[in-house]
Amino acid sequence: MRDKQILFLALPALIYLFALTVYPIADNALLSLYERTYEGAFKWVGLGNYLWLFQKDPYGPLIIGNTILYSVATPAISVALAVPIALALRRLGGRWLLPLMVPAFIPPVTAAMAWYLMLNPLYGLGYYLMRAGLMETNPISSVWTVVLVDVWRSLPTAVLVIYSGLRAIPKAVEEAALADGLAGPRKFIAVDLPLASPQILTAFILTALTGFFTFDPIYIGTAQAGPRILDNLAYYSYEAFSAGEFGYSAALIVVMTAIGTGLSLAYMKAFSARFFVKLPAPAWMPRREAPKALHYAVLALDLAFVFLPLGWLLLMSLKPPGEIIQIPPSVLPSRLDLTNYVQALGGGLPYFLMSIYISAINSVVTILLAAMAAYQMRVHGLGGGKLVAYILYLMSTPTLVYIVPLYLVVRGLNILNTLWALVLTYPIMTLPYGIWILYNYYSGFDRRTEEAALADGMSRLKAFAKVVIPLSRSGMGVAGLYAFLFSWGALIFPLAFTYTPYNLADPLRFSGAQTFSIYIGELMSPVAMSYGGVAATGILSAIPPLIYLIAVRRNLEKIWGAG
Amino acid sequence: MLILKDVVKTFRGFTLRVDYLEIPDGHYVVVLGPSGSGKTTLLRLIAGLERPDGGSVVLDGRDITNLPVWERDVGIVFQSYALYPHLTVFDNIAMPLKNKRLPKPEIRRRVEEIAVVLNIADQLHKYPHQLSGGQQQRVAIARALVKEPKVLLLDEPLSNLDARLRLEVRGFLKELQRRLHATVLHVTHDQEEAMALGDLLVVINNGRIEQVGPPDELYARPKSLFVFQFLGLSNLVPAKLVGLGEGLVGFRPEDVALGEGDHRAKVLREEYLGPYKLYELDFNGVRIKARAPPAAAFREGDVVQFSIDVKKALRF
Amino acid sequence: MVPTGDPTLMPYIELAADEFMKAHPGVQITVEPVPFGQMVQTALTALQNRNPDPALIIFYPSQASTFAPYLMDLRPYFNSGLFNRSDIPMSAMVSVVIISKNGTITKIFGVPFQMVFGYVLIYRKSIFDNATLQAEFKREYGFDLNPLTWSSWDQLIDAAEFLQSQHVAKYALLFPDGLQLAIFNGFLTVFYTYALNDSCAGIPADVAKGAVPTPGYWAYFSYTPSGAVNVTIGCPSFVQALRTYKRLVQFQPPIDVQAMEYDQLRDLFLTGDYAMVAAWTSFIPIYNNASVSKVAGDIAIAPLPGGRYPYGTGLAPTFIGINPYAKDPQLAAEFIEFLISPQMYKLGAEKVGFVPATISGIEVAAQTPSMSWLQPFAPLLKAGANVTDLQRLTLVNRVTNFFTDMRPYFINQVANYLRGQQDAETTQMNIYKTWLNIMKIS
Repeated sequence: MRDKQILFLALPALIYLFALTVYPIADNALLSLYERTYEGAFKWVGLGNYLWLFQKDPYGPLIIGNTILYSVATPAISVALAVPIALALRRLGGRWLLPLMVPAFIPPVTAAMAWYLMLNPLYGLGYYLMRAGLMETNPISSVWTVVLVDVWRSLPTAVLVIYSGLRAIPKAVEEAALADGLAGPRKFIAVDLPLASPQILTAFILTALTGFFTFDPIYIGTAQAGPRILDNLAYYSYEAFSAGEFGYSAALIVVMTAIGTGLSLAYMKAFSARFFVKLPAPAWMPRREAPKALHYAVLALDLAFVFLPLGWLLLMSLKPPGEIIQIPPSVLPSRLDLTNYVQALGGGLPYFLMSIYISAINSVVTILLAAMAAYQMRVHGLGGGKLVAYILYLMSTPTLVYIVPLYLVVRGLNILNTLWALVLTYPIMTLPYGIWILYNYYSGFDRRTEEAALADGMSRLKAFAKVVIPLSRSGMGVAGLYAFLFSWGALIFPLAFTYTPYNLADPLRFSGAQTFSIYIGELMSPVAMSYGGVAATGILSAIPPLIYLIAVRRNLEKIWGAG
Repeated sequence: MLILKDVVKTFRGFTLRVDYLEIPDGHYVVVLGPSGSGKTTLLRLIAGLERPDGGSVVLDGRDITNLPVWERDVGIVFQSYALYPHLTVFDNIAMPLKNKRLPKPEIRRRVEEIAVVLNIADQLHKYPHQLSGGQQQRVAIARALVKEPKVLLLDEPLSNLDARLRLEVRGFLKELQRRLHATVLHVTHDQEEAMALGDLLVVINNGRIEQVGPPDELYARPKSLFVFQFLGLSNLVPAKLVGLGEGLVGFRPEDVALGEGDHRAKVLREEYLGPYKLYELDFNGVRIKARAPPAAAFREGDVVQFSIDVKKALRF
Repeated sequence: MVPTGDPTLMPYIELAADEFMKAHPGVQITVEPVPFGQMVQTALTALQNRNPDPALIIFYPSQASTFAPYLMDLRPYFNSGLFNRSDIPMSAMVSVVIISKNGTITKIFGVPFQMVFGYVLIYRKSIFDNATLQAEFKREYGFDLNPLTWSSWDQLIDAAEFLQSQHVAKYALLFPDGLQLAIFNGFLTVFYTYALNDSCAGIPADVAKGAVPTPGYWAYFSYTPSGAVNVTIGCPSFVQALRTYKRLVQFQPPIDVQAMEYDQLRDLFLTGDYAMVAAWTSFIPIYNNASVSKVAGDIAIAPLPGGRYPYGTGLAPTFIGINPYAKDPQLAAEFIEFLISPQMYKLGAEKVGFVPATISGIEVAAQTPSMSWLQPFAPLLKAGANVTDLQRLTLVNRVTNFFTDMRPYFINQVANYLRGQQDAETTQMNIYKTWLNIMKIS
């Protein structure tokens, strides 16, 4: 007889998810069978939208191809680069992990902007690259630049996960390998790589998700490449939605979710089939450990990769406004000018505050609900494989799907354009991911502590609150970090549910709830005329997530150590 | 023959010092000591997983002190077995041979041979997670033995097993050693296991070797108080109480005859162990244990007479 | 709902709102600023959910077809005379008029109240007023170095070549080829002038009667005799325009290095590196802003390719529409009428440099000293007033996927041509075939 309290603990998260996700997804699937007419009505076209995508749309196949490219190339490159970096970390010490993690905590729009500004052939280092003959065309117009930016953003996660995997290899097995004559690169291929396979897989799927949903590099690169050329399904569906083509947008989302779910299921299958990366270790492979200098070189390259665009962004933010658009571009500012920051903070303060509020609130809400659900799922098997599959499915569903139905709900509750609208809707973005992180975390959790608490006479609820939660601190810290990140950079929900900035004159009413991400978007639109302002805002937007990162740095590795 | 000379290893405030230790060929040697005594460190030094701060390790005349693990000709069986989860049993066992670049047919032959010896010949295609704990251990042993090492090192091989299995494996290990004429170094904290298995015991405490010798010698003629108290059950009383002068006197429970004798003690507790009973007595404020036949009928609270076999008593 | 980004729009609306509130005490007007990228989403969510706010929605031609079904029909106000039809050129109305298949107007959902002319030629007075250069140019080419006297693209290109050889500025001409929209509008500007003389394109122009529709996307579509819809891409003027276009963009960094989009047209000209730019009149206040612009006070304006017919310059009106669920539509309409009144326009021109959309408005504004450059544009606007072939002019509105599917394809093909990856004929053939294949007509 299933203990009712187990269900009860997981209920808030599950009710929330089912109530707010099942209807929009089903509704979206239905909507994909209609087309909006000129007069605004919806006309039934059956599979017409899908046929259009695959047969008539001049860019349909290209966009699907791009989606797959981004979802496969990004993880392949990230993982391939992450392995030597993780090895270097293992050799040189985990303290180097912190600076390498920085790109994952830069909001996506800032990341894309940083690369764009740096590679720009007129205003950026690209100018010098072109002069030196290393570059012929504006690189921002290539799909590979999108991949580059995505790799930059997702590499830290891959490194973290794989590094944890390497460290999780039991010491005894490593010593047995030594006894068997395995050392250095030979041991790496024969033992480390296979034993870190679950983490390599996990790194693959996590980075694949980044590529799958990538949006901002496309947004910025399209101006140079041409419409549709860089698009993936996520971006294309958003474009269709903005153009009022709701039916087509819905169909694109269905296709996109199908691909995403396919990827996730493949991952699940590989994971549970105890898939191991097995490469041949030919006898000529050396046993000697690679020299430390080599590891330092790898580390140095990664640090350069991480900090070049950020450095450029920082330099740009400190330049006087006129100097930014001068050609040839100056590398160092002629003088330190804080005008950009003054402008960014002055105009951006309400947005900044609102983003902090919602990110903080949502992180707490998410980790509590996620912990309650994930624990029951992992330790007590609640929901079984089907629930896990649904969580994964949600993770590959674009948030675009929820806008219209949720708008009705938010408006009906009369909380439109207030902080509460965001509090209500944000968990949809962050809860599935949080549950998944904690689900992984709890696989290494000792359920005997809960059982001991029960034996001491506590109810399951009490046991959970007083025993499990305090022990889950490190996992919750990491889940909270990702929840914070997503909340901080979220754009689609605030765009849909808010329309004025936070009214500072009446702070406790929390009316007006536009977020910092909206502010950055505004700065990038015409007549804002301030690359410097964008740069300054970008730097500012990176600060809160980085603070959070530094706070939880010790817990980062533990989350992926299990499994 | 394995010889350790002037070996010193220090870490975290603890120092292991071995002035001279000789492990003869073809013997089942047990290194026995409490937790933290340095016995595992000793094993790891011989294995090559640690390097000594000073001194030398010589195996059959060859100085292996600074050789890497795989060049030492020793086989190691870890307490957790440390099998490769991603490889089949066959590949696990074959791994050390593959790295010696032996030809494939030769590898196959040796693996199958050792698998037969260890009774796992029908498991070769399976993966470690599909095997029972006992089977996994035998795979680990096979892996250590397949390269025909000069010394086989066992790190607490029985500690993870339940009582029943422990006895079984104990017998199995001894038989294996006899059959292969192998030199085995077995590390444990369990003195009963040590005495049952070892041809030679090396008792170690606090980083120093207390005594080396066959079990009967250590049991009957312990050179230090520690050895006396560590092996088997023991009693230690001030010599005055038994009229033997200064210092302390030690004697075993089986050397106490209850019922008659010059001394008196009060029965505190009795334990029925099957083949005999064990009594705990209060002898002038000192607790002593004594053996008695199963039919003995002393009750708690009784005051009984007893005598000690003074010939077997030890002075400290 | 007011889009941000235009430096004269918000001030004008606020000015008008102030004035209106003064004249109508008890009326409250709140302005809701919205960035360009969010306009559609904000307005649509409100309209689809029958939100009474915002009551008035400002929008651009590219968004008109998206809003068309949701905004209120304003014909009653035109019919009642609240909005003066004759003062508003038909060319400016085409985006907000829905016509049924037999040619009757079924809905008007917006009123143009601001005009932006684009592309126009903005050039450096100091360079063009230079007597030595003028003399040299006249000698070599035989006509004046004065854009107000030109009437062909060849003349513009000649001037650019001349100025480039004289090294008067780093680059002679900055011409739009940006891949989001500029290339689409830039090409149209060139194509239109050739299409006027190409019977294949069938532009309904009657120069004698002074009825020349101003350029617009409608030029790409025509009716066949049987009533089906055809595209003018296949006409000879199209290829001609491609070739001229390629010559026009040769004076700036190549498209592969930097495509010249809205931002670049605005920012790069400020640096003083260019002698001429084809830009929007909405940039004029920015170019004249001495705190950021090196060319402040040094600019003159002419239509493209010159001050004389034929004109490639088109109209980009800003429209205002009424939310059908607004609390008081009548009051909203009255505000619109106020907004486009000559008195308000005069105030706007004087105070914020606002460019009106009505004929009377332009004439009034042109009298303001700081807006005297509007004078050559008045005839341009008037010409579009008498145009009658409404069906042809609004045909493009019936192409539902014009902006979503057809425009992107067009842009990429022309970009390939400019990059030198394919020739003009191939470009034309690709666009022609694909357009006909994917066109959706309602």
